Parts: sequence; structure tokens; C-alpha cells
Amino acid sequence: MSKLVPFPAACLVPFLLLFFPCQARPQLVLGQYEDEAPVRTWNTLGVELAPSLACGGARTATAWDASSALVNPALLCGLPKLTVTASGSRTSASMFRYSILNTGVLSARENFTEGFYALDFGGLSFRTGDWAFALSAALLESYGRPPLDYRLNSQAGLVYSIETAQSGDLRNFNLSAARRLSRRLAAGLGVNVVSGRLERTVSENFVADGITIDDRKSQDFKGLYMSAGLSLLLSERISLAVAVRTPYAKRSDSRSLLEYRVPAAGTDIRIPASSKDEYRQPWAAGAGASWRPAEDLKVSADVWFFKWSSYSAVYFGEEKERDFSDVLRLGAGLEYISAYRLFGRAIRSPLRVGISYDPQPMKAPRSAYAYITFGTGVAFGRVRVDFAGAIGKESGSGRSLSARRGALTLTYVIGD
Amino acid sequence: MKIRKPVLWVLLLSVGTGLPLFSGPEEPGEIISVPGTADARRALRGLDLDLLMEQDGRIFIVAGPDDLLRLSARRVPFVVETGRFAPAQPSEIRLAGGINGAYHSYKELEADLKSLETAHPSIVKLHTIGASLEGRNIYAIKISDNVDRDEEEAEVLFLGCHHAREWISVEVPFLLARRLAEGYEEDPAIKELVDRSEIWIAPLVNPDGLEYSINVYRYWRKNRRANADGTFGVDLNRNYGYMWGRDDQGSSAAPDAEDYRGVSAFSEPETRAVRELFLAGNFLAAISYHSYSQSILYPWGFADVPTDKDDLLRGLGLEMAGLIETVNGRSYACGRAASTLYVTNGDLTDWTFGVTGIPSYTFELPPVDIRHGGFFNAEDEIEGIFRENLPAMLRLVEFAIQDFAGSADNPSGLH
Repeated sequence: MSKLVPFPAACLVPFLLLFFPCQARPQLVLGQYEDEAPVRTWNTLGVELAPSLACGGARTATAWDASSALVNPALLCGLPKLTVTASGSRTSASMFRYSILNTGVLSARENFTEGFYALDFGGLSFRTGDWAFALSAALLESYGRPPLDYRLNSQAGLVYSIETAQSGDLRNFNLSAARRLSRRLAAGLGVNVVSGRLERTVSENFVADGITIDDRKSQDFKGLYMSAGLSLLLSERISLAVAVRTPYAKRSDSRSLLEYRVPAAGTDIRIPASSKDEYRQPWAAGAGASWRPAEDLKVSADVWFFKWSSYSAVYFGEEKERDFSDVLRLGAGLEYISAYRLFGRAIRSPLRVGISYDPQPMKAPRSAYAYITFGTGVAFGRVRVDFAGAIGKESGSGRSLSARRGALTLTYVIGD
Repeated sequence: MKIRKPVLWVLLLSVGTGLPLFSGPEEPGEIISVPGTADARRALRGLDLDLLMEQDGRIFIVAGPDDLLRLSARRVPFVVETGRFAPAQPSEIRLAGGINGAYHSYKELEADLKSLETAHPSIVKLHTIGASLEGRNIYAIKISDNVDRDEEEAEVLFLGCHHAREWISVEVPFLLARRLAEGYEEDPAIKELVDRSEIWIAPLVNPDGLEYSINVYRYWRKNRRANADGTFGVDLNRNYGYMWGRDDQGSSAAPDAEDYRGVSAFSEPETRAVRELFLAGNFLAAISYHSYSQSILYPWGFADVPTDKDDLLRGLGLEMAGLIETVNGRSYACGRAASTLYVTNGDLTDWTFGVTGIPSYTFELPPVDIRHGGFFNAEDEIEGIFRENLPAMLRLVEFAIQDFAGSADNPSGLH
């Protein structure tokens, strides 16, 4: 009979918190994006915690924690007996054109850049015999945009104002299982439930006439998809993996209220609307490899295909034009582990660097981000702390957009 | 005059319970009143109307849409009184599926126009007269007997939504198309007009702008031209070729201005589409629908000077304004565009009048001012605004038919 290993209950606290993922300051960025576009990239694939972020996002064949379940659940079999992980991040990106900005209403010469902090992952994995399981909550996508507030004043005071705001996110709840089929082969399957919300307002005020125009839209999202994968240990040093994410319908309960008010004239015109909508998310499939040329050095690489040509968006009952093409996203990274002693304790410290190439699905303008990624961390005893950063520059839109992400991940590990 | 008891009971029951008086969402009836004069009584004979009661010297009648047209044809002035008998409790606002409520989006309009053609293939034909900058079709629906043939008949043109935010200007011409198509078999007056004319209706000249207005910014006016300086949009109703860019008062040379006229006359595919349609036909009258201000405007717009047909334009305009007022008492001002509203150059009606001399009107639909809604109309106002405009629309078609018939005998007429 195996001995149950106790672990500090405190480790569960950040995990529980993450069932209520929140953004410290919901806002954001990005240029040529529609309202439903996630911040930084359309190519959402789970969530990048510090170790994988530092390795160019390559995580199809390499696992560090329970977040692997969102990409390739088979990797759970390669994790220690128990991992509990919490992670936070800051994401920022610049954008030039969105909503009423630079589309005809308000103009700006420079890109708008904003960011948000998020506690974006909490999860655990445990392994027993040939089986491994994971449970996690993650902040998958953010839909925030930089708020706009334009005011026109005359000598007599405020004449006109217009304000816009957009916020929202999509959370992912994952339950996965994996089984070692042989000494070299493992398979895994994950069930993912997504839930989220998007809110957008445009408020306009013509002060002299006492006119207020409010346009409010909100959407509540729900969806279900599967993630699955295989992991093959070719040798002690090389492993290969493949994974797939099923297509799914992100269903939306959409509501809108357009209102024109002139209280002094008793005018209050309201145009309410509601709709059951749907965003058909594409399937994605990826392959990865991991090579350990030396005991303390590992190289990982990924390629993921996103079938964006099958994407469709139905918004308030109407299918919207989204001229998208399929995308190949690439990532590779290198991890070097150094070991030393500090205050008499054995410390292991990884150094990670990577690159990734992240093309966006829009056909016009063609747009892609190239990232340099880096990170480090410390592991002492059962605790691992990892830091990572990613700096991306966009090409194609002509606006030199940028995107950045930093992550801090804390993992508690028991067993090998 | 006796009140028909069953009708009275229905009325009382309706008022008492708050139930709608009439069923049938598409063509609800109205309670109207006409003067209790001897002339009016004579005119009512033989119309088989549901007479409701007589009060304060007026006769109250339950009238369907066809009855209203027959009354108009007999020149019987009437006032719609339905509002006086409204249910005690206002009904809850309906949640429509579309983000723009009961108004048409581009796709909804496209579907409805196609449905109209499918349902009435013998008198309705849908034409694509061009494409917008973003690739949306610009549709014009032709309504006539022998609709596949270009007959020697009077042609009349109704246009809507040059300006994106003027949603009501899509609905009024569209509802005219529907009324003509659906009333053709049942209403002899409609049938006669349709048989003797070719009525062209393009309810949505600016589909890109309308979509932007619906989805992004409600107050958008222009089309979606990406101008060289990074701004967007050309005012389509300043882009026509007559007196285009005459001065900077009637339009603007600044691309970021609301009334930016574009880099040249007919620089926009939307106005070119209208031009090709107009020049390919032999139109004898035209109305371009806009909002707001409740006015009927005729050339010139580029300057406050009369045309050589000022009397005709004014007389016909006043007649149409009178017809509108008889429906529900709403008054539309009528006058030359430049003096009644403001100076415009490069607009549609100056161009259609300037190149052919036909009666050309800009109808500015309700409300009367910005405090009462501006470019907004409540959803439940759409039908009423259409109904009040219907007699004027039919009058213009009738005028074109008369003009066409008279032109052979009267070479000094309009043409």
C-alpha cells in the first residue's frame, strides 16, 4: 500500500482563488482586431506559464506542471506524483485600430498600449500507477481594450463628449486524465469548459441639447471542447508528441440596448435586442519534440496548426465577415539547469531562452508576431518559482505593434 | 349614422382589456375620422367601411390599409385617431433578434428583398445596380407589370439611406416596395399604378455605412472610404455631379468633415451605381429619403435660387405635404432645399433635376428636431411614418404617369 503524502493546505488557496480569475485592470490593445479578438493573439492554446513561456511556448512534448493538460494531456504521465501550481501574469500589447478608434470617429497618430495583470492559472496534477489526472482553472482570453474618453470644451464648458469601454475574458476549466500505455507511450484526454463575458459601451453626450446616446452590448459565453494527445519516448533523450484540440462552439447570450435620451424634451427612445449567437472556434493540431543532448540541457520545439479558415462569428443573429486563413504557429526553446548550494541548501536554477513566430489569421492585413522569450527560476526542496518574459514585435500591419507578456509561476511538487 | 354594435363591443373590449384592437401584425387597421360633411358622406358611399360612431361633427371609421388608399383616391381628408383608443397599458417592448431591432441591416434587407421577389415574381424584380466599397451589393427593386420587360411607361425612383445613421430612410422605401407588391392583387388603385409605371426602389444606397452605424458607431453618416489622410468616409449626398464642390458651404473639401464631398464627383461606387441606374432609365420623378426635420425639399440645394420649374416643384411638394398631413396631422415643411434646410452641393436631387429636369425631392422624415430623436426613431414609429408618407409616394407615381401620358401631346411639358 502506497503511503499518502501530505501537503500544505495553504497550497490550495491560490488554486481556489483561480476559480475566480480576475484582471487587476481590464483593458488592452491590438490593432486590426475585431471586438471578439483576444488580446495579443488569436492563437489561444491553453495558457503559457513561466517555464513554457520562456521556452518559446513549446510545450507539446515538454511538461512542467498541470497546465500541460490544456495542450497535451498525455504529458501528465511525465509529471511528478503531485504538482500544485499557481501563476500570474502581465500582458500588454499595442493597438492602432479598434472599435471607434482610427475607424472614422476618433483618430490617433500613435498606437495605444495597455496591459493587464491577471492571476491566470491554478491547477493540480497527480499521478498514481499508470494513471495521471489534472484539474485546473485558467484565464484563457481577455477581450479588454483601452478605454477612450474624448471631451470637447468651449469657453463655456463641456460641449460634447464620447466614451468607450470594452472588457471581458474567457475562463477555462479543465479536467484531464492520462494513462501510460507502455514504457514509452502515453495518451491523455481532457475536457474543457469555457465560460466568459464581454461588455462594450459607447456613450455620447451633446451637452447643449441635453442629448445622451448610450450603446451597450454584453455577451455571456459558454463552450465545451476536448484536448487530447500522445507522447512517445523515442529514447532516453528524445521524445515526440502530438496533440489536438477539437473545434467548438463558443455560444453567446447576447444583449444590446441602444438608447437616446433628451430628458428636457421627454424623449427616451430605446432599441433593445437579444440573441443566441455562436463563435465557431477552429480545431488545432500540433506536434512537438524534446531533445536532451546533455543531462542539464533540454531543447523543445513545437509546431501548431490552427484551422482558422473554418472560423465563423454569428453576432446578434448575423454571420459576420471574417476573412481568415489557416495559421502555423512555431516555437522553440532551450532550458539549461544549473545546480548549486546556497546557505547549505541544494538549489537548482533553470535558464531558459526561446523564440516563437505567431502569425495572425486575418488575410488583410497579414500580420505576425515574432517573439524572443527568456526566463529563469529557482527550485529548492518541493517548491519551484519561475519567471519568464516574452517580447514580441509585429510585422505586416504597418503599425509596428508590439506585445509583451511576463509570468510568475509557483509550483509545489511532491515525488519524482 | 349608426354605430355598428359588434364593432363597438370589440372597441370597448379592447380599451377595457388592453388587448390589441386588430390582429395581423403586417397590416393592422386604423381608427380614422373624416369630416361629417355632405361631400364626405357622398364619397364614403359604396366603400363598405366599418363605421364606428359620429362625434363632434366627425365620422369615425375602422379602416384597413386598402380603405385608406381608397379614401385618398377619393380625396377624402382623414385623420388617424388610433392613438386615442390605445390600450390602457402600453405593451412591453419587444426584444427583436437583430442588434438594430426592427430596423433592417444589410443582410436582413437583402433577404427581405429577395423574399419579395420570390413571392411576387410577376411584378417584382430585384436588380444589383452596383457594389459598395466593402463589396456589398446595392440593390434596386423594380415593381411593374411585365417586370422583365423595359416598357414604355413612366419610371419613378425612390432612394433611401445615403446617410448611414438615417435608419428610417431604409424602412420607408422598403415598406413602399412591400406595400406595392402585396397590395397589387387586392387593391385596384395599387394595381393601376403598378401596371402603368415602372417603380424603382433602392432602399439602401450606403450599405457599408449602415453596417458601421449598426455595429460600431450609431451616428456614422458617410460611406466607408478610407481617405488618404487616414480619415474615413465620403458623404454620398455631396458626391453627385451637378454643382459638385461648387463651394465649401454646401459641402466640404476636408476628408474628416461630415459632409466631405470626395476627391471628385462620382468618386464613390455607391453614387456611380445610382448614376448608372438613373441614366439607364427614363425617370420622371424621384424621391431621396433622409432624416430628420419633417420637410420636403426641392432644387436648388446649391444656392437659394429658383429653378425654371419652381411653381411645379413647389405645387407638387405642397400637395404631397398636404397628403401627409391628412394621415395623422403631422406637418412637413416644403420649400427649396437651400432656403428650407441648408445649402448643399453635389446632392442627388440637384443632380437628377439638373441633368433631366424631373421633379426631384428630398424627404426629410421625422422627427422634427434633434430633441425629439434626431436620427433616432422608436421602432414602433416605423409603420406610422411609412403610412403617413404612402399617399405622397403614390401621388408622385400618379404624377409621373400623368406626365408620361401627357408628354406625347405636350412637347413643352417636363420632357
